[in-house]
Order: sequence, then structure tokens, then C-alpha cells
Amino acid sequence: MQKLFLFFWKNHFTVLFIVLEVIAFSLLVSNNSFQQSRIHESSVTIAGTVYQFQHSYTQYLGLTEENEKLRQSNSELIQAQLNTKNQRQNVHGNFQVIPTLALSSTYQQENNYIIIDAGKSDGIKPASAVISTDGAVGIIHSVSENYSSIIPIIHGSSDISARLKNSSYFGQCKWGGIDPKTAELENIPNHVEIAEGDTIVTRGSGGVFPPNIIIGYAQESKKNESSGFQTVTVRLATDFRKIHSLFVIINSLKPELDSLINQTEEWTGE
Amino acid sequence: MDRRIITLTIQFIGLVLIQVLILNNILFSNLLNPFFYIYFILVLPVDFRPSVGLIVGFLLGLSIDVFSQTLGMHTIATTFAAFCRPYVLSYMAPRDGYEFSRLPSVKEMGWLWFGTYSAILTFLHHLILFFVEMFRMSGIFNTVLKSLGSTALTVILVLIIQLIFARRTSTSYE
Repeated sequence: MQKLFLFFWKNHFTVLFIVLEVIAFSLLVSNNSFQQSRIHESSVTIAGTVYQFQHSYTQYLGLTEENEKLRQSNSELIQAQLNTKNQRQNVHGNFQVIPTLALSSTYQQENNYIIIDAGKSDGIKPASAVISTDGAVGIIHSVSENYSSIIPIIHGSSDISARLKNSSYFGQCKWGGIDPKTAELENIPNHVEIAEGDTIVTRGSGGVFPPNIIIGYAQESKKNESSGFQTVTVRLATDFRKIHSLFVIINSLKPELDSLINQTEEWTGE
Repeated sequence: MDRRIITLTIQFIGLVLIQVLILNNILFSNLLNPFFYIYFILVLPVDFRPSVGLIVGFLLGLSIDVFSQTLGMHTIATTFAAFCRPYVLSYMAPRDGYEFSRLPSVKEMGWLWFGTYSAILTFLHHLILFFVEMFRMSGIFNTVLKSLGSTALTVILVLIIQLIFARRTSTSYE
């Protein structure tokens, strides 16, 4: 204690200076609104910087949950969009969208497949359409209790009814079997002029895919003079090398459509 | 001794009044605000006790603040100037010390010495004052410019007053 007093006495000039300045500073801050607001401003800036720094690290902790929420809201939006489109045009179906995650997928084989983490218990039915946020992906093949397999567009037996967006001529979209970035649109009459970049969408005729889901964009077309039909190379909208979030579209009116098609076929067959 | 305290008191009151009644009402320019009251700190005797000088500086600044509605600003700056004064004095001490000249003035120390001494202390005072007034780092160039301009004006005023009154005040402490 004595040493402390001694220290203060030895440095009494500096100590007195600091004390007086502290008093003056507190007078300044408590009586001048400008300086006061500046101090508030600085403290907010400092606190903000610290919290931002903290946030930049802690935000990753909630990322899985956040992604789940985003998928959910995305699926709701897609569903709403599909169903309003249908109201404006003819009724093609009543669509329900289920968000899922791809567990495994291939793109280098002749017959590629995708496995997703939703199955019968989530309401997935075989022969339902699967899309990503970029465009069409494929069709559900088989469904187990909690998982489902998808036949993507890049599968040897994939066959999706597609049409040109701006001319409504339609054909079959198949995969050439080599490049996971392109597919082929067949059976388009030779006289239809196709420009590079023309959008190719689903036709929605079988009740599987909703109409007007983007499949891809025309790259080039080869006209076959003997058959009278051209084959269009389509640059796929979905990148099958980066499959992650997928949405399964269940059409609740499909059974009705299927039975009607069956009846018609039986009748024509007779 | 008593006479010295009375003279200082009169000087103190006179300078505060000149500052708040006259100089504060004269707006030369945005860059030129003379704060002549610092003259009191400049001409305190060399052997004036530094810690008492601090308190006097604090009170001087506080008096100015009370009259100019800027509580704290001048107090901070003037206390700082009073804190710097002993160091400036010892830094600028003549070779043979202050023995024969206990009072910083033109008459005792010469124009060059007194001008430099006043300019250093006044600039330190003005810089702190304008910095506290602005209260941000971003306008620091403007603050320094303003301090330089105002320092020049204040020093000119100080030298004029020295020219007029130096003889009389220097003899009053004998």
C-alpha cells in the first residue's frame, strides 16, 4: 500500500493529468450529444464487426437445417407454380412436390441411375417425374420403404415425350449413350427450322411430367432425308454430374389418365 | 507572492472574458478560430508547479466551456496543453537554464524562442481541441489544417499582446 502511494506521489503529475482528462472526457461525453452519438456509433461498429466475425463461423453449424428448410420451401414453390400453370391451361393433373436428396448417382455408364432418400413412406410412387431446380431429371423406377431409384434422362431406356417450346412440334427425347451433357430429340419433321438455343420442354402427355418443364436447349440438328425426320442434339439443362437436391412430382390424377388410356387402347385393339 | 496570485487571477478572468465575449463572436473563417485564452498557460512562470499548472489549465478550459456550451472540449485540450508545457520548457531550455528568466516572454527569451514555444503549445492545444470537436479519424487532414491555420492566428495575437504588454507584466513579478 505504501509502495502504491509512493508510486502515485512520484508520478503525481501524470496521475493528476489522467484524472483531470478522465473528468473532462466524461463531461464531454455526458454533455455533448454529437460526441455521445459518435461513441455509440463506434461501439455499434465494434460490436457489429465482432458479431459478424462470429456469425461467419457459426452460420455453418445450422447449414444442414437451413438447407432442409430451403428444399422444403422450394418444393412448395414448385408445387404452387405447377398447379397455377395448370389452372390457366387445361387441367393436366394435380401435382404434389416432395423434396429429396440424391444419395448416389452415376453418369459414366450406359444405364445410369440415381438413388434418393425418399420412398413409399414419403408418398413416392413409381413412374413419377423427378426434376431439379434446373430442369427435368428422370422418372422414378422402383420404390422401397425409404428409398427410390430413378431412371434419369441419361439412361439407355429413357424415353420422355418432349416438344419444342416455341413451335409445339413434339418428339421423343432419348439418350445417345455417351455424353452426360447431351441427349437427342427424335421425330421432329424436317421442315421445322430449329435454331441453336431453342428451348425443349416436356410435353406432359403421359401424365408423368407436368408440361413445360425444361429439358434442355437445342445444340444442332441432323436432317435425315430418307425418313423425313430430323434428330436434334439437346444440351441438357440438368448437370447430371452434380445431382444433389431433387424434387419428385406426384400427379394424383395419373391413375385416372392411365385407365382412360388403357380403355382407349383396348377399344382400338378390338 | 500574494501579488503574483492576484495578478494571475485578474489575468485568468480577463482572458476568459476576452475569449467568450469577443473572440468567440468573431468568425474569421471556418479554418481560422483563434483561442487566445491559451496565452494564460503560455506565460505562466517557468518555476510554476506543474501539478498546479494542470489544475489551473483544467479550470481555465472548464470556464471557457461553461460559456461556450461545449462542456469538456476546451477542458480536455487545455489540460493537455498544461501537461505538455513542462516538457516543452525543459526541451527548449537555454544552455544556462532559466535562472535569470523565470517568465516566458519575448523580452526575456527573444522573439524566436517565444514564437517557437507559443507555436508548439498552441498547436498541441488546438489539435486536441479540434480533434475532440470533430471526434473522428476520417477528417484528420481537415482537422490538422484547421489547427495549423488557427494556431497561426492565435500566435500572431499572442505576439501582438506581448509587444504591447510584455514590459509591464514582466516587471510585475519582481
